[in-house]
Formats: sequence, C-alpha cells, structure tokens
Amino acid sequence: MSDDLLEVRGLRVTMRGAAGGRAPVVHDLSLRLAAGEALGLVGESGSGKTTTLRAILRLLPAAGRIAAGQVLFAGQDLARVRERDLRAVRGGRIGVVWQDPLAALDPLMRVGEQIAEVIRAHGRGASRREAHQRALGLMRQVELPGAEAMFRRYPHELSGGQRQRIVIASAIAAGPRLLLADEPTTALDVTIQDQILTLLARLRAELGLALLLVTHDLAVVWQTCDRVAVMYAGRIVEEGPVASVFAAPRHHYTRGLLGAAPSLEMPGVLPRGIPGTQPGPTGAPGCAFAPRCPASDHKCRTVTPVLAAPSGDGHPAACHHPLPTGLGAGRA
Amino acid sequence: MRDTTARSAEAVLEIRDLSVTYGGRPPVRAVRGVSLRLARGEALGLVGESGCGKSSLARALAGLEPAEGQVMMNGRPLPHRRTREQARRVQMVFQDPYASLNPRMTAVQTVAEMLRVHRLRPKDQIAERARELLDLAGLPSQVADTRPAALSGGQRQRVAIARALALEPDVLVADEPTTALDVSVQAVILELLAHLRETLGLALLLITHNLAVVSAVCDRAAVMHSGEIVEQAAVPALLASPQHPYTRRLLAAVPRLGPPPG
Repeated sequence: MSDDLLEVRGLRVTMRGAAGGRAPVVHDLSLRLAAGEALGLVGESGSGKTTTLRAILRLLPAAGRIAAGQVLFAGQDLARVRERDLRAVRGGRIGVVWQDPLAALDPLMRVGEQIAEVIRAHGRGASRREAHQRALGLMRQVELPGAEAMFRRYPHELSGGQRQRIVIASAIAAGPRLLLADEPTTALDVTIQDQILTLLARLRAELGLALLLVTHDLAVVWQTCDRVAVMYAGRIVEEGPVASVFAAPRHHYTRGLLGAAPSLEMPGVLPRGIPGTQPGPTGAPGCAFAPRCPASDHKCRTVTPVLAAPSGDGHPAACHHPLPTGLGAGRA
Repeated sequence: MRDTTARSAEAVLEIRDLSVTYGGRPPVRAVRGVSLRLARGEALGLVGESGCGKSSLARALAGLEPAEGQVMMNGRPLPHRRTREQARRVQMVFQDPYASLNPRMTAVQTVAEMLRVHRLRPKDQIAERARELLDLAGLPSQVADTRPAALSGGQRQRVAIARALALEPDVLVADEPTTALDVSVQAVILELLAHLRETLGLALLLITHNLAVVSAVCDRAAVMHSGEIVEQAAVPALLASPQHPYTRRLLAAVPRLGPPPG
C-alpha cells in the first residue's frame, strides 16, 4: 500500500441519456492524493470534474452510475462498500463543501444546530450539551463573529460568506482528514472569496487536511493547491505540480486555458479564446481536444492518447504532440 | 457654460447625478447620485461586487428602471420614457443569454423581430439583414436557424449581441456578459466585443465584478461601492496606483495566476 489518503483507479462514470443509452462522462480516471496535500481538479463546464467528485462520494444523480474503477479511501473501496458504511464517510471522515451554501444548509434549522447535528451523527455518543459546545468552538475556528448569537440564526439571516463558513465548520466537525470542495467560492464576491480561501488554507495547515478542490478557476488553483489535474471531456489530460503545469503546460488545452484567462498584469491585452466548444460525452476514439487543437493530426483523431510522463523531466500529459518541457509557457 | 456644452457634445453618453431608489420601508437607494461620461467608441468598465448598484445603474441607462437625474445622449436629454428612436440608441446585453432569448425563436427570428418592430429594413430585406448581423456577431451560419436550447452558451451570447446590434446603437451596455461562460469562451466573446467597438465605433459600458476582464477590454474603469462611484481612472493607472481604499481591497482580493506581484 502507498501512503495515499485517497486513490481513484480507472474510474468510469456513465450517464443515462434522454434516448435511453448510456454515455461515458468520466473515462478511465485515476488520481491520488497524499495526506495533507491539496489537489486542484480544474476544467470547464461539462469536463466531468464535479461528476468525479460526486462519484468519489457515490452521490451521483439518478442517471449516473460508476461503470468501472475503484475509489480507495482508508482501506476501503468506496465504489463497492455498502450504502450504510458510506454514511460514516460522507460528512464524517470526508468533509464536503458545496458551491451553494444556501442549498447545502437546512433552511428551517438554526445554523449552529446543523453543525451540532454533524457532531452527534459522527461523534459517537456526544451529548447534546457537548455537541453544542463543540459547535460553538468550530464557529470560532472558522472566524464567525459572535458565535453564541450566530448559533441561533437561520441560514437566510446570514450573508453568503457567513453561510459558507457554517458549511466549512460542518465539513470539519467530525474531524476528517480529507476535504472535498466543489467550487466553494464561485458563488461569492471576490473579497469574500479571498477570505474563504485564506480560511481554507489556515484550516488545512492547522488540521493537516488534504483537499480535493474542484474549480474552473485556474487562479484559485494557483493560490490554493500543490498539484493540479486538468480535465477535458471526461479525462484528465494533464497533471502535475501547480508551478510546473502553469509555467510549462504540455497539453495544448492547458496552454489554451491559461492564455484565455484575462490578466490584471497585462492591461489592454485581450486574452486568446479557444475556438470551438468542448464535445459532449462520446465513446469515440481519438483525442477529444483534436478538433480545437492547433497541433492535431490524423493520429490525434484516431488514437486516444494516454496520460504519460515524458521521458525527461516534466509532468504527465495525455497528448501525442505535447509541448516541449520548459518551453511554451502559458503566460508568455 | 459654453465649455460644458462643448464637452458634453463629445460624450456619446453622459449621466449626471443619477439615482435609483427602490420602494420599501425604508426605501433602498441602490444608485446614489452617480455621474459618468462615455466618449464615442470608448470602453468604460463599471466594476463592483454584488449589491453595489451596478446593474441598477445599467438598467436605468437602458431605460429599464425609473431613475432620478439626467441621462444625456449626444448632448440631448434622454427621458426615462423613450421614443423608439431614442430607445434604440442604448442597447443591453445581459449575463444570462438563455434567460434573455425567446426559447421558441431561432437566432434569425430573434434578430429579425427587432428589425421588424423598429422598422429598420423593408420587409423583404429583413431576413438577409438578420443573417448579416449574426455573421457580424460571429455566429456560424449553420446554426442561424437554431433555437437557443440547441446553442452553446457562447453562441447564445452571440445571438444576444447580434440582436443588440440590429438597432444600430451608439452605446452597448453589457452587464456581466461573460460571467456565465467558460473562460475559453469568455475570451472569444471579449474579442468580439473589442472587435465590434473598433469596427462600428460603438461605445461600450462593460459592467462586471471581474477586474481582469476590465483590464483586458476597457480604457477606463469606474469602481462602484454602496451605490456610489468611489474611483474613476484610466485602467493602467487604476491598476498601478489605486487611490480609494475599497479599490485597493478589491485589487488585493483578486486571485492571481502566478507569483504575487512585487
């Protein structure tokens, strides 16, 4: 066994389409996360990043199914364990932060009670009083002002940033070692996003938490994560340390994505878009990015590239014609 | 006095002491005495966070929201209740093209309807002109007869832009036009807006929470906070030496792709 906290091996997720057939939305996806590490799973809408996160927790929508693969966590394969064994994992040993805190919270329950509920559900025999005290402690830990008064509030009485702090407090309430976060700051204003990202970084350091962060925002990944995996059309197309991937992307999609982000450092410079659109789910062979790729040839359209490390230094990319390592920097 | 008149004649759009107040007890003053000028062909970014009043301001400009104060178009007052001719001078593009397009109309029908209502072309030329406009907005001709549901987000926004262009406006007010789009598509739409501005001499008021978008597209930026413009400057100056504490706070909060500056 490795010292990985989470290992996903060969995950394949299919969705039932409107016509009744099943289409693959995540193909042969593997990733590993060491204890205390932060991995950013980045991609545009429809890339399969949220589906991957949901598959890890077996919280796929009714049309979705794990068709193959393993999700290894704490010596168990979450893709196979009984549903009731999953309950100790979801929100317990794996904390989860969703994009929309208002949807994640119970509108009719005081926010403090929602944290206390997690403690009682996962904390074997904590009394009501203990749970209450620990919830207050958690609210202070996520820097909510006036915890006593805040405890008794309802979600609608809180600001978006305060709600997300409640969700984060609930996510860490049972003392997990792994946090999954799906676009945790996308619904928030930029000044609040900054505060929440700072909070997540502090909690990770204090609690030794590993983080799997799903986002579309490369800058958020840069600021938050150690490693990044770039998804396109249901596959990881490039993966490596954040500094390496962003400074010297090897996949043409990653380079395109980096060049498409407008920058504060270069006023008056228009970002370059990537012509075309991401294809929907398809089982067809070949590289899904080939139709939009400046370097694609016949091989790209017929043979699916695998995520492979280069012979020299550099990180893995699923590309037949990868950009040379150390060159072609995305921000050039 | 004479001087003022001359300057406002240069401005394609000028607002003076504009306020938008919503009913309720107490009433909410969403926009508080804002003054802005937009020169012909200029791109001005209006930046702020949710609730700062930027969308209320945009809607008031487009005549979609009653407001106090003055809106001047080419030096002449533009009343809240506008004639067709006045209404078409300022056109809007919204954040969510899916919500702002009629789901039962194809792209061509959407644009053609505008041309017909405003009687901008003889009947027999409407369809042709609609296709021309969609082409100008970069919509592939194969999908011109497609309804919004079958279009991608970027394509929908192109239809919304073509519809706005149909009225040959002087000013395009774009309220978070790329916020609902993926970053690779956002870049393509920003390119389109910059191109239209250049080729049509269109003035652009770009409303967004995203300072990086303003940095890429705009000449000047106005920062809005609690219904007021707290700072206004040329984009490079605003980014290099923000004066107002709120602008500084906003700039510091933007996550950067790369090592922190300095």
